[in-house]
Amino acid sequence: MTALRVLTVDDSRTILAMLHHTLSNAGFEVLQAEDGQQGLDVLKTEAVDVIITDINMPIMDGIEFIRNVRATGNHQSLPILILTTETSQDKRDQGKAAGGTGWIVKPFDPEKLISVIHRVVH
Amino acid sequence: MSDLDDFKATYFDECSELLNELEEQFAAIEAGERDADRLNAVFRAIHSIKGGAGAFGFSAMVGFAHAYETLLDYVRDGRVELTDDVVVLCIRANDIIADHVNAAQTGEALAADYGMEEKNRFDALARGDKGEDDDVGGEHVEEFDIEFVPVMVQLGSDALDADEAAMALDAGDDSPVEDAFDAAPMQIESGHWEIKFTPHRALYARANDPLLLFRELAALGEMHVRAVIGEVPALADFEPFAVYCSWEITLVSATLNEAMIREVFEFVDGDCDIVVAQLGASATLDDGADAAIAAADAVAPVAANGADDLLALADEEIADLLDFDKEEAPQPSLAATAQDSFEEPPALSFAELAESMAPPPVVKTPPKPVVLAAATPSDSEESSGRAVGVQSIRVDLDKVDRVVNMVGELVITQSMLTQQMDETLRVRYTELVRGLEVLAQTTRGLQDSVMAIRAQPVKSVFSRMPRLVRELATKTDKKIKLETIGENTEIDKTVIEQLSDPLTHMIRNSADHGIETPDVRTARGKNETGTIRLSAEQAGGNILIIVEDDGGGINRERVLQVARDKGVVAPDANPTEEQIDQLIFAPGFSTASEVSDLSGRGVGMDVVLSNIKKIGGSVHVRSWTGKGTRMTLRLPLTLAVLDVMLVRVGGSPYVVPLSSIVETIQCSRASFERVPSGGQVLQVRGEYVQVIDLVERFDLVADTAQENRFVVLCEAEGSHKVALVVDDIIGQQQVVIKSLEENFQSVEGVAGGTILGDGNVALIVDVQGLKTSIIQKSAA
Repeated sequence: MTALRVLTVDDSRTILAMLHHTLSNAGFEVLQAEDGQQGLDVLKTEAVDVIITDINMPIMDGIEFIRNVRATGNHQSLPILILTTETSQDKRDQGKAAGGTGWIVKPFDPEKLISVIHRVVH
Repeated sequence: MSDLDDFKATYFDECSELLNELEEQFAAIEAGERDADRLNAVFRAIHSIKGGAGAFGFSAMVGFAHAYETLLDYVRDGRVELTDDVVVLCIRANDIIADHVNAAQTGEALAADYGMEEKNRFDALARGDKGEDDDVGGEHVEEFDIEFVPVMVQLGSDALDADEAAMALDAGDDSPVEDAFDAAPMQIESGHWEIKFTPHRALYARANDPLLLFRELAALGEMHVRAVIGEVPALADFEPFAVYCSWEITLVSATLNEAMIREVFEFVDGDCDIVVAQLGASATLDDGADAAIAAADAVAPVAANGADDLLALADEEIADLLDFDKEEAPQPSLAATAQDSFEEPPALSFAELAESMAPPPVVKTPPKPVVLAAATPSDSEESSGRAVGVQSIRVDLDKVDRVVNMVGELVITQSMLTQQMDETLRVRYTELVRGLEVLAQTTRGLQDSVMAIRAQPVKSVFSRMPRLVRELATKTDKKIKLETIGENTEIDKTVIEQLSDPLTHMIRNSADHGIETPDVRTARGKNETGTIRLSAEQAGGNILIIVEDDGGGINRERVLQVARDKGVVAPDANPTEEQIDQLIFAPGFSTASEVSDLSGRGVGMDVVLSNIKKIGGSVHVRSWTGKGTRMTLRLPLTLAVLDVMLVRVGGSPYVVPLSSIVETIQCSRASFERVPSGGQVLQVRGEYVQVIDLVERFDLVADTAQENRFVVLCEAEGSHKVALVVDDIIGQQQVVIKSLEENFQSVEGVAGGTILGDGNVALIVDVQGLKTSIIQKSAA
């Protein structure tokens, strides 16, 4: 069985590094992008099983990124998890409205992160 | 734990970048650029810092950053106006964040109430527009905001009567039974749960899949699922991405509570209607399920009717449909579940369901193949996903330093090889010579490229200065504006790192002592706002960083007086104006009034000089009474390699930094003229230049009594030329600087040593040092 591929999109290197560590330890193959535009670029050439994206990013934020992912290619069924520290539900709701599948609340607990991914991936 | 330490290192790295970014953004915001982009950048920076802080459990920082972030969010959407006061508060908050980061990094503890005043102001500002109930405490609040109000029916231990259950559930559907919900214990010892899950049509638009929900529910207990397919339309009207089914699920588990079930549906909250009800613990599964199903809604007949429509289609037609739709990515679980429920209308256990779905093609068509189809491998030139979109890599500076050093050695080896090629060899081995020339070129290119890796724009240092000037202006009650020029000039990173402190000190000095108070300036006919100009430019192999102010200039009388009092200058010496100016850098010179709140801190300008010297630079100050002061830092482009002229003095090789050489002249001994003070001068095109004979200076014996002497005309600070007299000029080359201090001891007039291509050691002549020592001698 090939490893599940996760695209992680976050402008924080710390978060990217922690995601990478946690996910690759759990056997995922991890792809990285630092903003939504880079994320879209990755998707042009790479197939992934799930996307984890931050909301607040320069160049293209997470909301627009999700909207674009859903609108392009055959990405309707691609699970997208929103990374959020928002205490208000605004961002989460916006992310959902744009097509986000679920969310992960930062700071994330490694086990919780993995279990959330398994919740949305076949 | 080393992983965590690694992440922390990354985090602190990132924080320092983000804090710099904040400085830059606020410099612009202060200057009136208050557009959304800047605010967003600030928000993101704080957000990122907070995110990392949360990950590492720096809770004090999280709390503060959260209040700050909340305010920024309000400013962004216009709920709070970005007044100058708010800007000042934010700038203060940046400092507090920086202190938090610093404390986290060093492990120091900050006072528990550190930054509390600012935090309270943030909270107050945020509350001002949003009312008291605003959640600014950083706690995440779970909200269930769905159309159906959750119903918790606590039933007695007696067997459930179907009618009662119907009433209870009906009541729950129509009128919220909040009291019952509140009163219900969340942890229930054992129970049968009935869940009615009715997705909205658009559930699949967010890639949520009921199959996954069932999988998760199945992990909670023994599960039975029943699909309600009454809504499934005729094939012609069937949209692959719409949901037509709803499901009724029975879950039996001893350790289940409603929150656990709700959590499974967390992500589809709002995209579906869910009713969760607990049946009596003692009710049998069949009884309970039947009762609940009957009570919740009369779905069975509808389901049957709906199923009839679909069942009317031949089985192979369904198979065709599914095959056909596969390319358009139908939701497999929907189709599969629907199909299974056609064949087996009664409740189906999840295990059976999953098993029966495993073999058919539809189940093997999860989203993955669709994604693969979207990817066009033939277009993909990058073989690795990680390479995509990555435009820079982060490398440990140590690694780059190693490369720089090795390249330095390579340059020397190359120049040694070139030196070894005498004329006879050149004639005999033309190919080798050509090869060496190419090697020389490549080596030079390699060196430039390696140095470029370490080069950084001075912006990173300059950007901290507007803030400093602002603070200084406030504290001194002066009006000062800072102009920066050439902030994209690049210097070696190691030089940049050493630049911040001296530059800060010089600017402090300008603001504190240079710029006059507004009324004095007005009286002198100047604009009441003083200007400090900070500029960087490349000049040959050097970077010039100039701090210039339009203040009152150096008070030479006072400086000289203090210098005499402190014994820095002999009482009878009569230094020139320029020599007096330079005195402010003299060790031990620090006037009483110099130790002010700002420039003070017990450090004189001599520290600036020694810091700058440490990185191979020099400082020169020039002052115009009543008009201003200019301090020039001359810094090497790089610390590693030096372009030099190789000369011979008294039989030994010496090198003179090429950057300080203006020209070389050959002249006779008779051209040197004695002056009354005992020194010698040389007239070069009408200008008298001070002569320093290196043979005399270094107490050597000239290897020749030849009449012709070579003169290397160098430019010291302040455009003062010095004529260095040497025995012979050998040529130009690059050398790797070796510190004398580290390997031997500091020697006056010598800036360092180097190993030449032939293995000989040569000393690097410190032109400025020689000149200064002569000034001091003549002043003494």
